Amino acid sequence: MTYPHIIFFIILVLPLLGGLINFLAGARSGPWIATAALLLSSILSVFLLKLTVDLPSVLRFTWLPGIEIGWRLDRISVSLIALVSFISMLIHLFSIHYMKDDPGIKRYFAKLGFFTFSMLGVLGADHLLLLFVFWELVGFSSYLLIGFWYKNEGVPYAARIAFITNRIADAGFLIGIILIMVNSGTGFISELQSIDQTGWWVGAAGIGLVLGAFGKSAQVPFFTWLPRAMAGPTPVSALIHAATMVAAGVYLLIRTSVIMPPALVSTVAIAGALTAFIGAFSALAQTDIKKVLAYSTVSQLGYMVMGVGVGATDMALFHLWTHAFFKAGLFLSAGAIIHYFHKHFHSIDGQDMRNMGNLKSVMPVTQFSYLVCMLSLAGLPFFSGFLSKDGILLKSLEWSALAGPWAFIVPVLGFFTVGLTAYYMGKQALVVFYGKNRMETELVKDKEDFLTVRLPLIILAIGSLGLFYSFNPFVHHFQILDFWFGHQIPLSFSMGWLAPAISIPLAVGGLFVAFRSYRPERSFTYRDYVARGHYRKWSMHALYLDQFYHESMVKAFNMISEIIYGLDRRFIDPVLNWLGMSFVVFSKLMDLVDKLIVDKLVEFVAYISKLGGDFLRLFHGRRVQLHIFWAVLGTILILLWINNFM
Amino acid sequence: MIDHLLSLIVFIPLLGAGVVLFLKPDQSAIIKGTTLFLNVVQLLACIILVILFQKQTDAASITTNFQFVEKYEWIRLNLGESLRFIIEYHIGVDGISLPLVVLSSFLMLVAIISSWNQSKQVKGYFVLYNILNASIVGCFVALDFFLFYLFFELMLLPMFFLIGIWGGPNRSYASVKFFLYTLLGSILILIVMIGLYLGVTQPGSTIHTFNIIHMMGTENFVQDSLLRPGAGGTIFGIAARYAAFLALFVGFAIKLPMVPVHTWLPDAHVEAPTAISVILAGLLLKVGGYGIVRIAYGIFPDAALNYAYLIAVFGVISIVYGGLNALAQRDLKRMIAYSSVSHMGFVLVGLGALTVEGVSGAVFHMVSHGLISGALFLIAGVIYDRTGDRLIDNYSGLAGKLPQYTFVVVFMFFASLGLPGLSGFIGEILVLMGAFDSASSNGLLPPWIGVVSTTGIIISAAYYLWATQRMFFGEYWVREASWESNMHDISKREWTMFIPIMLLVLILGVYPRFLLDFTDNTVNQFVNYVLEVGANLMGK
Repeated sequence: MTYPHIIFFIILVLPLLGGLINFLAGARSGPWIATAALLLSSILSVFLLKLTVDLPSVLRFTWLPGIEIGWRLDRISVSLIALVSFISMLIHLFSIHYMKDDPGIKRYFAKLGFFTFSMLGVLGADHLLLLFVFWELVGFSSYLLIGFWYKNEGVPYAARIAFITNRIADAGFLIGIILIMVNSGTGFISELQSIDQTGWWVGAAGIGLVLGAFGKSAQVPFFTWLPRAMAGPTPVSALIHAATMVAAGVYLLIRTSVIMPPALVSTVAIAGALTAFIGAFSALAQTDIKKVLAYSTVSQLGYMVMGVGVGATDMALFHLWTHAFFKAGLFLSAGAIIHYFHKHFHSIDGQDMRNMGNLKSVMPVTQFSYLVCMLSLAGLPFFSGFLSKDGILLKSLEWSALAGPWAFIVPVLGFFTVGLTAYYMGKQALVVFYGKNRMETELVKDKEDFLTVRLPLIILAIGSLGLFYSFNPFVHHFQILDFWFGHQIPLSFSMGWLAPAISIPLAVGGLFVAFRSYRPERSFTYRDYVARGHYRKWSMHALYLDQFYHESMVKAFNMISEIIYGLDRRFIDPVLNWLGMSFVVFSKLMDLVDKLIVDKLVEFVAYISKLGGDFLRLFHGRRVQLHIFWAVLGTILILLWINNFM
Repeated sequence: MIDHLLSLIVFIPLLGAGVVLFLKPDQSAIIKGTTLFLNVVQLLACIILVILFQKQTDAASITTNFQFVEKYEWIRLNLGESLRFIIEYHIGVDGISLPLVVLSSFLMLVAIISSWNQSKQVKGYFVLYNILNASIVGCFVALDFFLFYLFFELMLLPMFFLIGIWGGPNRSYASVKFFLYTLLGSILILIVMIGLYLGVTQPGSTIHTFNIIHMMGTENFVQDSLLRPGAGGTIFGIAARYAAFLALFVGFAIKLPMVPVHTWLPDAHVEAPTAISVILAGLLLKVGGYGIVRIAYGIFPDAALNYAYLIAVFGVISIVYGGLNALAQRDLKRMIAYSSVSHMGFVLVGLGALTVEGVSGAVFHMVSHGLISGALFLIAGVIYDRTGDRLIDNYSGLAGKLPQYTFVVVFMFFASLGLPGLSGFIGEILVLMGAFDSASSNGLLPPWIGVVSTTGIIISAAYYLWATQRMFFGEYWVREASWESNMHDISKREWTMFIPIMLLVLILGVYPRFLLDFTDNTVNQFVNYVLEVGANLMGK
């Protein structure tokens, strides 16, 4: 156990400990203790980054007999550890305000701490099995957090569907892990490059890993759980369904793509592009403020997966990083709005954008933070999202030029999604913050709390500025990334200017279209908006995939189980009972044989004996003289009989 | 004292039965106290056993690996010069039986706490309870087939009455069904036992023996016996040794239980009182698994190799079939009972794989499932104690009303569905690794076995989460207004049952070597033995 590992374990355990102490401490001070623990974790992780930046730190131990597993702290894992603990700290801070009046606040912070612990474990693990352990714990804590308001309609179902969907994908993941461990003799991620990649199992294992990653990162066809997961408290959505948990799948892909066959990697690229598009398309017609953001998360995750598929793993990782900031910022802004509505207009649905409008007048800092993060998401220059997204798009152009004509579908979908993203985000910003108040009642002035609302929002907004990562807004000059990966990121792409040249007009165009339809001074009837027409309906229901799963698979599964149970009750059990009964019948039969034959035989013998006895009794009168007579006679007869022989 | 530690562990409960017999029926506190005290002593003896147990021995093979061996001549009949009838009192433990011995003592103790409020015919209950304890532990330590069979049959008697007298409304049907099923299995085992006795002699003499270790040595078989390897005799067209193996296997598989001979289990569980359900699921099923390992596999390694695939297939069927059945249940206890069928399927898959991981996984899973299913039946008992009803649909939103109970339920449900960090996961992953490894290492199982077994983890998540959603989430509601007054959270007594189990489940999940270090050596030898000797015999 080396020095960096001790620090890592402190970082790992602090959130858990903070959550536990919070649970014991009480509703007032508990949340602050949990937040302080996270703050300490973030500071320590920066320190850890300094320690491990040049020398990755490896710790291995035997967990099961004959199976060694271990941790590895290198630049990538430690910078993500720093990211997760920092974002988690901000969300803890925000939650103090958001959950202030909830009776379950202690439970909430304990679960949040447990989640952060699991996520940090995923990042530090070097062995696939160890990663899987924490991977499942992430799924479990997400189940607990989605289902936090378990009394509300639809919440338990959302939590269950999220877990089961992940579980289905994880079954594939587990098979992949086992295949690698059994056939290559190692499960260490850092050793994957050097394993012998021949044999049928390599492809199968790759598919398994991809399945696992797609489940957690909400890719086609598994993404339906993510929008449902919005049933959890909004800071939870910010932390796990935007910034950290869903990124775990992308992280896994980045780390394991080395062993995947080329055909599989291309499939991953196409699936990512498709997810990016479907997510953006589904966000178009949503009216729930969180649903828009949820589908945008699906879409952005699609970009990251696409990035891995086209070979831009470093850019995918970068996008994961920038996305964590701006998406957390967006969700927390949404959380601030929802909390505002909940507090002042309890009877009004505070997540329905159709009730909103002109919120800039009451929530200036939220508006500012939201705008910065939204422009970053939409992919405008000077913002971080632009840099990372364009890195992926650029690489996809290059990749498709080499891969063949069919591959153009990937950049085409990718660029088209840029336009859609700018449109739906622009629409959301305009509808929520500008224009007229759409409620019957007046908006209420309410100052946002500085420490627990404004501060996290401002920090996340600053983190979403492009300046933070590159001094040149257009050309990617990523000193910070070079440091991060330990080598210069090659950016001398042959089509260097092409990507921004396409994506900037598309993004600006998308914003322009949104502005034309929803500009503040224009009177439009968003209050009565209902998704009508084919395209809006398909968008509203995300291609009806969720309904399809429910109607086909869930119902079929339940039906099969009922049929099987019927089989058990009506066939197997009766057959076995019948066997048992036949034993009873057989023994009854034996009993009959016993009574009618064996018993009767015995009785017959007894009868014969009795008959003989009765006959002999005839000769025995009650007089002694008669006895003597018979005795003498008998003796004579015997003597005569003996004499005969002699 | 140490020399007789194992005998002590077996006979302490019998002493308890004797003492309780002399108490008056109305002295229920003393009866319970005595039983509890003696069980604690037994558990302490088990802990000493664990401490003194050598994890690594220099024994060369599985047959010489037993520790704490006690061997005495018990019954001897001289029937003429050449025919002598000898039964030995021969016990001992190795890495496979040790965890099960400790598990039984532990679970019996938990079950006493669970039956603390038993008020119906207390004396009879605890006499039978003590006999049950002795017979279960006896099964795990016996090295003489006759002794094993004796304990095996002795288990039936208290179980029959404990279900039949202290059970639910349909108890007599359930207890007779349980009895008939197990008896059928026993008959199959008895036939093979007699056949083996006639076929096996003590090394270097003509005296026949019931010694299991001697039965494992192929040179001990009489020249013209039917069961001698390579003898070529057949029964119903199957080679005699294979037929004998199948008879043993079916006999133990009924106990396990394996689909399709599992239907006694749901009925027995639903009718049995809580504590007896705990023992039934936690321990009796393990006797079946242990019997397959020690006796069926041990004596007939060639047949074990021959039927490995078949056994794994039945394991897979049990996993999927049991899981789907569990999903369809409306009664909480019945659901848990079917989940046991599903989980014991993993044991069969692990045994079928015949790799070190697979067999370790099977043993680990037996212990882990013993703890988890025990806790699950206690959970069903908690709600039944309060309302006398176990239908899932009769409850809703219990999380708000009974938060501590909900915590325990979620913990145990997730332990059972294989959440990493808890013991259920370790057993499953080892078994799955074994199944996949088998394809590349010994070629017994094709990869699809592992793939289909993995779907078991999805199905188990489906039924547990669905049950959780229906019973614990949503608005608080119970079917009958009269239950309201009883809906109080877990009592101190109930916590004392749950906390040790939860701790063990957690420790085994985080640090599985806590158990695997004990089993590793034996399992390695066992797997080597079955593969080598089995392959040799098949070659003959």
